[in-house]
Amino acid sequence: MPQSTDGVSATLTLMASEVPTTGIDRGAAAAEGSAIDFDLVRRAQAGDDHAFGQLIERNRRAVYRAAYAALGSAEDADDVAQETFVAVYQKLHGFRGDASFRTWLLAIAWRKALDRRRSLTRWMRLTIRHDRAEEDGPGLIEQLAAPQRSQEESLAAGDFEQKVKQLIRALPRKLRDAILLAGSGEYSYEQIGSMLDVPVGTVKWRVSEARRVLKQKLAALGYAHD
Amino acid sequence: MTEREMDTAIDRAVRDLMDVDTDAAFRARVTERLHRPVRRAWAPQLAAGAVAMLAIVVALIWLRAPQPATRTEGTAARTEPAVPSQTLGVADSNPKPTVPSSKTRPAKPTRQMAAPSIPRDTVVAAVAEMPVTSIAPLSGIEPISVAPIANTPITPPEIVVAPLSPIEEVQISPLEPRTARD
Repeated sequence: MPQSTDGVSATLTLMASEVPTTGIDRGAAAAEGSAIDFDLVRRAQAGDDHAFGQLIERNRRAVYRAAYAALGSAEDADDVAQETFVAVYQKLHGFRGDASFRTWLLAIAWRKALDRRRSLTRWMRLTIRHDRAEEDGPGLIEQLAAPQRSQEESLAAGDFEQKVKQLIRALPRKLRDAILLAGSGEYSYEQIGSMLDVPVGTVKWRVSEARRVLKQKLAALGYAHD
Repeated sequence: MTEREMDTAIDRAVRDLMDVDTDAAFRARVTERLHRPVRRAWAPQLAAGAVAMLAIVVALIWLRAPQPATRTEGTAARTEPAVPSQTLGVADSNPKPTVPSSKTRPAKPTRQMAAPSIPRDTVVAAVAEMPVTSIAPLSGIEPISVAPIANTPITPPEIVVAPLSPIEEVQISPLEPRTARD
């Protein structure tokens, strides 16, 4: 992770009216990265395969995490990330540089991830996996609704964090996508807005709403705040 | 648990969920894929669509099959061709084939309309009882009279060609020397 823990927390707790404290540093770094990407793109467009390889190295994690946020599966995310770079290689001559390369790349990655999320084969695979999981043991709801240990014991064992993760996975897609992308610390709000095809204000609202829903559910489970 | 603690727990959980990365061989896999022939990603969707279409077609055929035409219509249509046989005795030098009109066109026999099985003896007896119909001989063909062709000479109209107008003289001015043009 390139960013500090504080930076990520600041991103997550950012509200629509707030300004991130590390905004200037992040903006400068992003501009520098964008300029490097742009130079590599020009070289790759001229037929330099090594430059394209460098573009992959510089952006693979961002693409992979975007796909993972949408799909929740490492295998699918890896496949979609590969597909994205193949598509980008084929479309590279059409890239004019109106937006930053990373924004363009992430938009393609997100579209491909959504296509995969909607695909019939994936749905069938997940259904089979879900059926097997049901046979294996109690589901998420049963686990959450029947805490057998005290809150202190659960906290000590790390169960609480697992429950929070399960609640995040159970969020409505729009809210889950927004909070995962923002919480990864990999993307700016502008990039998330471009990926989700919504204004920045909507992204911020969704992150805030996701947090509110999570806290509400935690309170309902007995983790009430004072 | 305070709200701040909940926020911290949510931050930590999200960060943990998204703390993923590709392995070192990712770039090599992409490069390999770039040189691999394009996989037809639409093939499964196309196959699913084809199966759905096939199912619809089969369902339509199955639904339409058990609707037979009424038996009386079929019987009427079958007995109709027997009618002209009684008029064969009438002298008609150039009989036209009977074309059933659209109204009396026999309905297509369906599987449910298969002819009832009639015992062979009944058929033989029915044929034996049929009255012998006499067919009148055809009348002789009248000779065709063709009027003789008139033997008149062909006189084409005279073609008058007007004389061409004289060609005007073409004046060609001499070209400028090459050095002057450059």
